[in-house]
Amino acid sequence: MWCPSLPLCGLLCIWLPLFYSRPVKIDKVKADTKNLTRTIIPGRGSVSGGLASGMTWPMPRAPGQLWGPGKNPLLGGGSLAPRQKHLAQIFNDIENLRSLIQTLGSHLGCTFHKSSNLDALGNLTELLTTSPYTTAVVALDRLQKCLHSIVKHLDHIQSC
Amino acid sequence: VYHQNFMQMAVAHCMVHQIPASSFMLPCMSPNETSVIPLTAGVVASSPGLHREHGTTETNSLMLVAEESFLCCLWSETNANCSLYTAGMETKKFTSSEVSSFAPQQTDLSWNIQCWTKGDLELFVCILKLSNKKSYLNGEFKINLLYVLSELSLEDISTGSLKGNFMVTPCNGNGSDKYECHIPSLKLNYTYITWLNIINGVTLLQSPLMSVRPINIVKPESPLNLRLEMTDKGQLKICWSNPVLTPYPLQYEVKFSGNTTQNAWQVVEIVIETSLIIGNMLVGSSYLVQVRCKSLHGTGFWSDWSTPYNLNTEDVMYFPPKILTSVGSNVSFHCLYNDKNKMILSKKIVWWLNLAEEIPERQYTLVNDRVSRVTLFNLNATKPRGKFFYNALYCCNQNRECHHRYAELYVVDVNINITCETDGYLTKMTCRWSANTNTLLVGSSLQLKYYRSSIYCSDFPSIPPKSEAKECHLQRNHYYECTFQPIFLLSGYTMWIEIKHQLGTLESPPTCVIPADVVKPFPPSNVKAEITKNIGLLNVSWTNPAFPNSDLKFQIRYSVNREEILWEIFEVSNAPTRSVMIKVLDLCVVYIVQVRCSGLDGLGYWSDWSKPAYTIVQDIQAPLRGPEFWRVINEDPIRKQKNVTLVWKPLMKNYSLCSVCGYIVKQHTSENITWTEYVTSGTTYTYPWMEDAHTITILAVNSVGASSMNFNLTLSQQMSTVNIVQSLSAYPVNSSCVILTWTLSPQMYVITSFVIEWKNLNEEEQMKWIRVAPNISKYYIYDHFILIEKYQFSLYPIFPEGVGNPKTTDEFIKDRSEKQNDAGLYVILPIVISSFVLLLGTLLISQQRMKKLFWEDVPNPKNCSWAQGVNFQKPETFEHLFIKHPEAISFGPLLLEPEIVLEDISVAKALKSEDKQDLLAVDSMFTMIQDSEHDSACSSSHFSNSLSESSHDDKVSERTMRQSNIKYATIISNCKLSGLYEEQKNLSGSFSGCFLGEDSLVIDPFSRSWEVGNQAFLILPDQHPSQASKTISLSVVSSEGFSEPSDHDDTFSDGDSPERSLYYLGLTSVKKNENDIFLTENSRVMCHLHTNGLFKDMGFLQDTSSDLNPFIKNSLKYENSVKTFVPYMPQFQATTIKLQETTETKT
Repeated sequence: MWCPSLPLCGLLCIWLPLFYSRPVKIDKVKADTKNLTRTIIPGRGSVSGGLASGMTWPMPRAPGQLWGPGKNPLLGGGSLAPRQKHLAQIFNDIENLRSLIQTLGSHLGCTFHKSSNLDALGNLTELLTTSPYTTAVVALDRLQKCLHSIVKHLDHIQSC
Repeated sequence: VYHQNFMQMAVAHCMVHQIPASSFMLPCMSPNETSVIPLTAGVVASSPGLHREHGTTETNSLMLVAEESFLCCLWSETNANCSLYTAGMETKKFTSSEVSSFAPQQTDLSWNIQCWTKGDLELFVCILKLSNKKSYLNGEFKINLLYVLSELSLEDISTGSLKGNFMVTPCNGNGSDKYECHIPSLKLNYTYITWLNIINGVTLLQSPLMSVRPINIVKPESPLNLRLEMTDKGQLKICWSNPVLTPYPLQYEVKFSGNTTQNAWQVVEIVIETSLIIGNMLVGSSYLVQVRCKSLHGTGFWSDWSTPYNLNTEDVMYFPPKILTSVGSNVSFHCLYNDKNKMILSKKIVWWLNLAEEIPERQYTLVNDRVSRVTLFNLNATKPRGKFFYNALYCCNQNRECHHRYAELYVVDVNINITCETDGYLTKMTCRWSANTNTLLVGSSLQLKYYRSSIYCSDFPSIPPKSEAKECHLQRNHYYECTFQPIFLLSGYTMWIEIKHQLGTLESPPTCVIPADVVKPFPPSNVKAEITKNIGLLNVSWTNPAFPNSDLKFQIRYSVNREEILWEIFEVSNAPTRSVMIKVLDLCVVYIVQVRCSGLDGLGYWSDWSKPAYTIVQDIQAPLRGPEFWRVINEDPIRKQKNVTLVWKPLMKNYSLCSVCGYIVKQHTSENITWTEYVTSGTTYTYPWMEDAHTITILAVNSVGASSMNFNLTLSQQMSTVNIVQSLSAYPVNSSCVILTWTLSPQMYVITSFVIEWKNLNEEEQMKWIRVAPNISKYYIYDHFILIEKYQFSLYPIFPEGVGNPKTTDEFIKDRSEKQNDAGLYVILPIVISSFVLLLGTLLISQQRMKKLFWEDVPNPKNCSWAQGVNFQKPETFEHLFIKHPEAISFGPLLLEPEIVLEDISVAKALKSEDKQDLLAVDSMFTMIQDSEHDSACSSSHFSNSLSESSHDDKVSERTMRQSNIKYATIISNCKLSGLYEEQKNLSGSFSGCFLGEDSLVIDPFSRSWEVGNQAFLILPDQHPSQASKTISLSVVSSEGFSEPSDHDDTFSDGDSPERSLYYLGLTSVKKNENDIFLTENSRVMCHLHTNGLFKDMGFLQDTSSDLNPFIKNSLKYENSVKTFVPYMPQFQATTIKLQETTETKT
């Protein structure tokens, strides 16, 4: 008697994880977003000063010391290659973060508007031409605020 | 400046010649000759562009006229149109007729030129060959190629863009008339405007302008890798590969040749694919095949012909001939079997693997009537066999004839596990993998390839079309290691190993790794450990690593810090305070503690253990209790007072927690007076006993405080007389343990505890003591005891009112003298045994000697009837001796023969030493041996019985015994075996007959016989009164054997002698029948006679015999048949009696 219903049960069993996986995945995406944000802000910055201080932006880290006692990374205080590595790492992290937010947005059914680069950058381009080193700090400060904002709102996001 | 002007002028007048994808001519004439040529119409008007169609086959010629230069005109093989312009920039286009007038002989110089782009698309090449020159042009030519690069097409070229941009490249001559010009670093889609300057001496020749786009004149590389394949339908096809760089689609030209001569080549077909199906038309023959290629669209050159491929289809062909695949895959081979120009039908083809295993027919597929296909499923890795790393697949005839050719199957295990680990900074991911080089093909190269997805991994990772290679380095541990840095923490890295071999490329199963999931964090830092005060827990605290930010779980391992560390693990998840309290058993030891962490979700790895942290031993609490103590009382005779010395045991760490800095001795008297004394060092305290009764308490003190639970001891003179211990015993178990047991008398006191004291009395060691519970009566004392020493044990009952009177016992743990005795015994016993053996040996030897001395006196045994025919040379075969005449020895008494023989020896000796005249014949007979016809042996044992009885008289002398022995020997010699039963009635007659011997033994005429009871009788020979008593002991000797002749006097009556226990079984009955002693009429001879009483005792004897050695019972069987040899033993006494009883019954 149960033989004909067996394929049906099998089908349901196959589909069950798919229905179940959706909320789990959202939670995971949220948790990963939060962790990645925290990794970027205090972790890849500095424990003491943070990005805004402009004094301790990613430097080569020694064990037990998150980021070396650095000066403005763009001004000097170490060889260029390690700094570029860490900047590249932050760039990768942000790219991952963007993908996570996109994934989160697509789960929530959001539509994306491609914003103008100039709008996003504001007057940063202008600043960069006049004072390139200070601008870097300003840019990173903005990034820090943006990341904080993400963390702050992440738990409360229910819809677009 | 000149070149620039020229170029501007030429381009402006559109007098630019396009270089064709073929060779062309460059004829040159002197200006003098060209000046005669009339300028005609057709001069190209000035225009910004060149208005003609590209790609036309018609080639316009351009003639350049310079004042001091030769005129060169370009023309092709088919068209000789030529344009001319003068120094005044007047141009003229020559008509065909005009051009035709330029006969070769008119030109001063002529060049054959070919230009193309090389197949690598990097180099533009022009070859100039001098075909004709006039004699006045001597010396070498110096040729330069000048070119200008323009991004625009020729139509859009403005003269301004060409301004000052020309470049010069010299053309190299090889010493002959051939020159080669190169333009490197080509840009394929650019337009090159170029011309030639040819200098000979002072003469300058200049070509017209030429334009070219390199992409239009490419000469590709030859096609590669020609091979023969088979379609799914079983058709043969020739396949090849494109040259490496093909910027556009190609067309191919294939040619065949039946032999190697060049003329036989035939172009078969031009195709646009990289294969050509040839069907089966060439099967069974051998061909050479070549392929070349050129651009499918537009102009260009044909490539050179490829290397010839030998297409040999004369015998067996496999498609593909070699396969490289991975474990678990399925592969198919095709076979075309041409055996001696005769095709084997596909249905008759069978497949064999390694010529050892026939592949089942169900795996065959008949593709067509000539092609068979076999498919192998789920392949296992090829096991290398020597140098061979492949399986050989043979296509065979149905009759199992296989061609020597085979297909090669290489199956490689590509299951390579890739493991990755992200560092604690989350910036670097290191992946490791190991390849078993033994299973890999020689010549394989391995490479890790990966593809990164933007976020996460797919559920089923697959190899995408696009991938990147990662450089990996072989480590010392034979692992390859690759590092990704920087990383995308949440991207999925799909990785696999690509195994490249000339036979093909294999890929390991892909695996997807998210760096965030394989983090090995840094260990926690700042690890601290301490035992908390008062609480007594191990408190461990640490600082988390900066990464990862996700929740962590921790493992704390701790151990007592000693040489052999035994770790205990404590796990805690996501401790927010970064510390943990652990309950530990021992609080007063140093602990070593380490911490490590891992992701709470279980992903990733455990970090390394942190640096170890150590606890410090310190006082945690006040001591849990005071020390156990005891008192020793010494009397001071001078002062006439008692001194009390308190002794206590140092407090152990588990009670002191963790140290003791001193002790407080508190004394409380009955008058409620308390005084204390602080003892900082030592564990004893002495004070005079002033108060009759007082209570002592000792407290332990450390840095935290004094102990709250303490032992009390009340000392009271009155209570010291109370004696409640009834008994005390000590039993040693071994050298380290003694059991002490005691019993108590009924008492009214409450015992709080006991104190056991013990001391070695032989050594001046201190007294030891221990406090034990009051409810026990046995205690195991563990100490080092010397078992041969004397110890004193005392048991003190402790009452609340005071210490009671002790019970003391001195125990010899083990007596020393006892041990010595034992040792003496062990020495003496072997000596005694060996002496005994020696004595026995001496006796045996002496016996043998005596045998030899007296043997000749023994009567000839053959005179004895039963001994007829018996071989006495083999005395050991007594059994055989008896068995010889079974019909004659059907009677039991024959058993006694061995005894007799031995007795004879004894007698013989006596015979020689004693006077024969003293011979007496004494006998006491039972019924069955009273027959005079009997052998003496038949009655010998009965002598023993009867004479044993007579021994009670204690009148036996040695001399008598000897006499009797002699007589006995005589009896033996006169015995004759005859029927006993028949002649029982004639007792005297038979006896006298038996006693008459050869040795002039005369029976006394006074001798008489008495019939006692039914059958017993006694013969008393006539003898002197003085010898009467001697006669009695005769048979005692005979029964005991010659070895004990002198012992009879004293030992014979000793019924308790163990050596004769069996013998005296008979005597027992005799004693009961003392009244049955008979005397002869003249009282000269006294005999014991067994009468009915004796027979009555037979029952007893019989019963006794039942307990005897079984062979006694066996001997009883001789009554009916003699089958068992019975050795000589004293026990025959009993046997004899048994036989007598039997005889009596029968009578």
